[in-house]
Amino acid sequence: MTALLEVRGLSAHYGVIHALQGVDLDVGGEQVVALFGRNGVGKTTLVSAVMGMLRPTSGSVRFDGRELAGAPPHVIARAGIGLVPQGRRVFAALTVEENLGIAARAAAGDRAWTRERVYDLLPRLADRRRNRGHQLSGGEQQMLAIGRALLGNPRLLLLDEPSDGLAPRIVDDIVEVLAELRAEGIPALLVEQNLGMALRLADVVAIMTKGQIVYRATAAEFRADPETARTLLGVA
Amino acid sequence: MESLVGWLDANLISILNGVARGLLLFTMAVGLSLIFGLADVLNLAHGAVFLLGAYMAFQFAGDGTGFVVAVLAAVVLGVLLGGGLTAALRPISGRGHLDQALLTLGIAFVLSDIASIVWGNDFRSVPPPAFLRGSTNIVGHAYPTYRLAVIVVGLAIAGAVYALFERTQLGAVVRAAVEDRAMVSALGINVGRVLVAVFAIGSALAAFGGVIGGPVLAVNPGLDWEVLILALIVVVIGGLGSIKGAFAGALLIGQVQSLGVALVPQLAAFLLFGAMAVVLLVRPEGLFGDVTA
Repeated sequence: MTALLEVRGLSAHYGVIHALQGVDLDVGGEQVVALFGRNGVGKTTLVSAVMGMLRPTSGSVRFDGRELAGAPPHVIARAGIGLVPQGRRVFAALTVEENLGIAARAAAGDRAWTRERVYDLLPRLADRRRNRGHQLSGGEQQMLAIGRALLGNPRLLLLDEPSDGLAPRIVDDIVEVLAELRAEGIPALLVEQNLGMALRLADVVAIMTKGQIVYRATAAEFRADPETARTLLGVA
Repeated sequence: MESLVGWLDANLISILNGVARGLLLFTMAVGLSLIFGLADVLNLAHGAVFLLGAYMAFQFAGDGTGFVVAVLAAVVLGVLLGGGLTAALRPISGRGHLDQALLTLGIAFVLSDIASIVWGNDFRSVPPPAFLRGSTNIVGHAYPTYRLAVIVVGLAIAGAVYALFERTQLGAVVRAAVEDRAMVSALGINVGRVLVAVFAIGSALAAFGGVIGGPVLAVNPGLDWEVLILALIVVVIGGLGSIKGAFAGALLIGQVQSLGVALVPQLAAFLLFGAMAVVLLVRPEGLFGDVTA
């Protein structure tokens, strides 16, 4: 069976730095793939390269059978990949409503996700719809980044450290939302430093070191094998 | 209170001149600011677009219908030049600011020379449309009717630009792209197309500013650099990519050049850059730059 997203031999450079050195990764079915790795091993670079925000130097990114490597981000987004980026990147000067409106404007075809549905899923945003991005708390910004991605009607989500900088209680809220999306059957690549959080959602765990995927197992196998976590991630 | 009224009365003409000048500057500066904010391109050809607009006024204006023709010609020319500039810049979009600014500088020289070949190097005066000639009485002062019309039209343009960029979906996309172009693209929006639209709208505004400015300015090859420098100062003062900033900065510079010069003529040479220096010292990001910082 071929996966929805198939990354093969993907390489990318920042200047002379070989940031991705032939990444192979599958995401698909109805699964959440958690991607772990220490700081600077290339996790966010991989997300950027898949999304087209960084042009890969070689390799392939196939999505639903269609080659997307080298395509611009708006083409990749319209193909059905939604990005919840590192640092959230909500538009600070725009209201919540406008942030969502932009994403809704771009989405083509049948509208599985509407603003109303996003507000139902994320009621906190409904209360804040007239507020501007920079007036939101970190948790609200994260919700907005998720809602914004959903309005593109993605068939796959790329989530880059959604728990970053959030209080544990807020992280719980985020997990709850992501669990709902998982139940909807939207597969996701979840990049995380927070292993505990990610393992509440993940079906599969992949680990990256120095620009390559070096480990892939089911979440259950990963949990049963603390030695791997210790050697590859430096955590107990 | 009495003395304030007296002061206002004594300086009313200067203040109105400053407002008219400021609003003309706004039509020029808003495009420059948005293009810089969005594309990171310092469009040094923006002044030439304004100049060509002013020559459209010289070419076609005369009576009322001529003025309408001039406006239409200028707007079409502005849209075409804006589109052309985007196309010219596309192949070097990956290069630095300097390369892009140099390309627009080269285009500015070419346009300026074309204007000089077609219309000569003399100062050209443009008559206002017939129905706007003469003067109007404003609380006891006779004021040129055409300048009042410039103020009214300038305010209407500013209102329309504000509504377009602050109240519509397209405007929200532009403001978002000024903040984070890559993120807008990752939401499925073809930012290249947004860029063409903003270049076209900005250039059309500059050309329109040239037409309505024609009758109050001395039209000559050289006017393009004059207004470009002023618009650059406005953009720096107002904050990059900000419409409110361009508006506030333009009105401020208008007053500095009119009221300021009338009040302290001995400092006339320093006022303009002095105002910019003061703003930069107090708010380096400009009056309305980066709301989040």
